[in-house]
This record gives sequence, structure tokens and C-alpha cells, in this order.
Amino acid sequence: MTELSPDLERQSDLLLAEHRRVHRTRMQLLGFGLLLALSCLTSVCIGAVAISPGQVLGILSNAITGVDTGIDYGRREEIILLAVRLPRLLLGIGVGAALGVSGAVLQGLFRNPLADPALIGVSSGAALGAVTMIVLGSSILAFLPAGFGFYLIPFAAFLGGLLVTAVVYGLAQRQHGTDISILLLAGVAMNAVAAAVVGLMMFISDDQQLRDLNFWMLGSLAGATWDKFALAIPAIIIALAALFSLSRFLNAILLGEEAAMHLGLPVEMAKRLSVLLVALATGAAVSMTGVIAFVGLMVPHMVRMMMGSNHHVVLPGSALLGATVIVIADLLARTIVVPADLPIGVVMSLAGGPFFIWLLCRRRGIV
Amino acid sequence: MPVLQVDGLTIRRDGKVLIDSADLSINAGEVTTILGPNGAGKSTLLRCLSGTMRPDQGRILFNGRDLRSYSASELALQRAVLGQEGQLAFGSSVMDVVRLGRIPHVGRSTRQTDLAAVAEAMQVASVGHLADRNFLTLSGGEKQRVHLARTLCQLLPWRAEATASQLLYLDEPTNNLDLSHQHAVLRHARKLSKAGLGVVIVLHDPNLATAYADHVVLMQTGRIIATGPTDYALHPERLSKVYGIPMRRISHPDYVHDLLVPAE
Repeated sequence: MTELSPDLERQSDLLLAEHRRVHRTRMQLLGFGLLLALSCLTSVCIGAVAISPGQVLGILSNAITGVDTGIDYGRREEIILLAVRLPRLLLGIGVGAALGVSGAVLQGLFRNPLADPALIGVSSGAALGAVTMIVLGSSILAFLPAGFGFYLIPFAAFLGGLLVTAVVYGLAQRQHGTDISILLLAGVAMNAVAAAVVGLMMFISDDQQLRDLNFWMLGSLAGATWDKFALAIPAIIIALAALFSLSRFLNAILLGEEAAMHLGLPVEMAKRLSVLLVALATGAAVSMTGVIAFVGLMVPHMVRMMMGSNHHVVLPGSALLGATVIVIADLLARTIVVPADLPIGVVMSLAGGPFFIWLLCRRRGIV
Repeated sequence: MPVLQVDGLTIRRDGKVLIDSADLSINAGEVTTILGPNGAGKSTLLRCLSGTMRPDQGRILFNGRDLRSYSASELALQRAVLGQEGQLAFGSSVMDVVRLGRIPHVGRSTRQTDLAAVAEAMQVASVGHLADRNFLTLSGGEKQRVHLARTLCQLLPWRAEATASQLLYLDEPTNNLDLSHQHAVLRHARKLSKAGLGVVIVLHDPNLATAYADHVVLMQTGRIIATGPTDYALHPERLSKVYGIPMRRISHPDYVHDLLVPAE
């Protein structure tokens, strides 16, 4: 028994190292938070009409608390900030956080650094739903009261995302649980089918539909309104909060499913819940903005490089960094070729792809 | 009374009988090894004993209670399993990997106790000096020892009355290890059994079994051929039949244990 007694010095060493680590992750998360705040401020100030940070403060304080700060601003600035830039910014934050966390969760769940929300079919399913509604929806729209049509495309996208994910997940069910490798293969197959149907829709669409469709396929925050924000954000917040509570399970699954079971965790239920919540978060995000590639893949990677693999840290980190990346990408999208609005998906892929390659090379010691 | 009592355990999958009415018992304070040729059902038996796989027939009593009546989290406090798969998908510090073994204790234990358990387990598995290293950069032997530490800290802290009701399962823990580390891991296992723990190890090498086991379960094509004290179960004649090659036992005045070697 004496041989097994703990070494007290070693123990206090570990305690100290633990405190240092907790402190470091707190500082890193704080840094991410500051970075997000800074990008938000920059984003609301810059645009076709410049608004100074002081004016932003004045407008917000007046709008929220009714307190007049005495800072001088025009009616035009007020409308642009409150009706255009602010909903766009906040929707962007929600979408970025949803995509970042979804990617982190799927990579952890599949124990595969290449997993992203597109893999389980939620993105292609959403695209399929939206595109079908854009092309074939006019006949349905005619029967609905005016104003209802606005909700129809996001709703179709959300439904499409959930449906395709359900099919992919259903295909992967085996007698003794969910087979992850079949899930991945089924995702690839369903993505191909969805892409083919989207192609077919493009083929039969007219010119205006094709423009709408393209915009949707490449992703954009341009249509952001308070209505869209109110529709998407509750679903995203609920899904993310629930995903955060699965952190411990995601940490354990790093060891493999059987090892996680040995640790007493309800692995099957947690897997099912993770996929459902990711479909909910990504579906809600993508249904408002269209498909935005790369965030779900790249952001968790960057967070893991900086902060390690503990999901208690990786998930909040991915939410903050995902939001930051989207806010910055959207700022670029709407300022590079003023007054035109580039699709954010194009900006993400153009900037994100090379950046990601640079990160990987740096990690392998090439650059 | 044995910690684990198995009666008439049978497992069928896809029309094949993987385990055929197995009877055995596992005692606290002993090292029990499971031996047998490839495909004998050693790992399947281990899965059943650890509660990962449900038997089709038969009964397993763990501390006098039906194994099926345990919840997953209850079981996690009573038994730990070192599986064969040891790779991680993402880099993580050794400390963080070992700490995963404390998951069953969340809400039941303080951070102080958790860290003490982690420190102790790392010491027993001799990986204390690796605490801050990235798991992915370790050698195969170091990785195996880190997993051993993680598995051990699941059952800590040792308390005489609790330890005697706990089981540690190791599935081929000597895989990928060089000679000295093979012996080191089994020495640790033996030490733990002396502290009162019941230890069950799947092994391939009969000579490691004779050196470290109190009790051997010999299997062949899903059946238990013999179960009993090491010298009895690993009789050369029996081994010859099970492995299909003639075996003999040689003793040397300098060695405590006899050596089991192929006769030709």
C-alpha cells in the first residue's frame, strides 16, 4: 500500500501547472472576445457612409436607454446603423458562432480533423431546400398572403438541411449503434445527390431565379434584417448552449467510442444529440445566409492549434473566433467593391483557403 | 467470495457462437490472465466481463449483483478498462489525457482529489515526467503507459474496502511494447493486485502469464479449456493441444518460473 501513496511534491506541481493553464486559457478567451469586439466596432463604422465610433456610441445609447449623450449624428447615420449594419452584424456573429462550434463538434465526434458541417449533409440539404423554393416556389407563393413568402425560403432551407441529415444519419444506423464511417460515406453520397438536384434546378430556372440562386449558393449577409435575426438566433443559442454541455463527452470520445463507454458516458445518446444539435445550429445559420464554406473547417483548427483539444475551451473559442471571422469577412465583402456586395462565401474561400494552407505549412515546418 | 462470477455465458453474433457457455470467477487481490490462440474469443470475453457487451445467455454477478443491473456511470466507478485502441485524433497534453479517467467522478469528487488521483496514477505508471508533453509525440511504450495511468486514475483513490470490489481490465497491454516495458506494465499490474484490486489481463505469451499471473483462463474457439492456477492451466500437454504445436516445460535452477517453449 505504501508504494502507491501519492507524491505530494509532484501533486503540488500539478496543481500549480493546472492554475497556470486555467489562467492562460482565460486570457486566450478574453483575447478572442476583445478581437471580436474590435472587429464589430470596425465593421459598424466602415461602409459607404462612415460613422465614427463616438456616433455609434451616441446612437446606441439613445436607442437603447433613451439617454442623449450630446454626440452629434444625423438621421441618415442612425438609420444605417440601426436598420442595416447592426442586424447584419449580429446575424453574422450568430452565424459565425454556429458554424465554428458545429465544425468543432463534428471534428471531435468523428475524430477527424477534416470533418465540417457540410459533411453530414446539412449544408447541401439546406441549399437544396432553398434552391427548390426559389425555382419552384413562385407557384406556392401565389397562394400565400403577402409577407409570408419572406419566411418560405429560410424555412425550406432549414427543412432541407434537417431532412438530408436525417437520411444520412438513418443510413448509418446499425444494430449496435451508429457507424461513423458509414455516416461519412452516406454524407458524401447525399451531398452528391443534393448537388445534382440543385444543378437540375439551375438548369430549369430563369435569369432572375439564377441570380437569386447564385447569391444563395455563395452565401451572403446582405439581406440581413431584424426579422431574420429574430428567427435564426433563438435556434442558434439553444443549439449552442446544448452543444457546450456536451464538452465532456466530446473530450472522452477523443479516446474512441468504447473508451468513452468505459468511462460511463451514454455514448449513443450523446452522438445522436450532437448530430441533431449541429443540424439545428447549422440549419438555422445557413437558412438565413446561404452556404458559407470554410468557417466550420478552419476556425476549430485554428482554435485547436492555439488552445489544445479540451472542448470546454475549444467550443467557446470556436464560437468567438467563428463570429470574428464572419464579421471581418463580411466587412471585406461589402467594402472591397463599393457599392456592390460580394458574396461572403467567395471572400471566405478566397482569403480562407490560402490562409489555411499557410497555417498547415507552418505547422509542418515548411514556411 | 469472488468479485466476478460468470455462469453459462454465451455470445452469438451473425449465427456464430463467439463464446460458448463459459464459467469462471475472478478474485480480488489476484492477477487473472486470459490466454488462447487468435480468434479464441479473449477480447469478446473481456468485453462481456467489463459490461460493454451484453451476453445472449448466462449470468454475470459483479460483487454479488447482476452486471446488467449496473448503470453505465455506476459501473465506471467499479471497473476500468484499458482497451487495445490507443491513438488520439488530436494532440493533447499527457496530463489532459490522464485526467479523462476522472470523468466518472465529476460531481462526486473535488478538484484536489482529482489531481491527487491523476498524480498518483501517473506515478504508478511512471509517466509523471511526461505531464506537459503532447501525447502525439510520445513513443508507443509511453503512450501505452499514459493510457494505463488514465485507466488507473478512474479507480482511485485506493481505499482497502473499496479496492477489493474493483476490477481492472487490460486488453493485451503488452502490445507494441519492448521487452522491458512489457515486464514493467505487468509488474505494475501485479503491484496493484497486491493492493487488493482484481486484475484481468488478456495476454499472448504464456511465459508472461507464468511470471505474473495467479490464475489463468485458457480459451480456444470460444470455449474455456481450462481455468485455474497458472501451473495447472498452462500444462504443456494442454498448450500443445490448444496451440497445435508441441510444447514443453523447462526449468532452470536460476529461474523461479519454468519456461514454456515449443518442443521442436
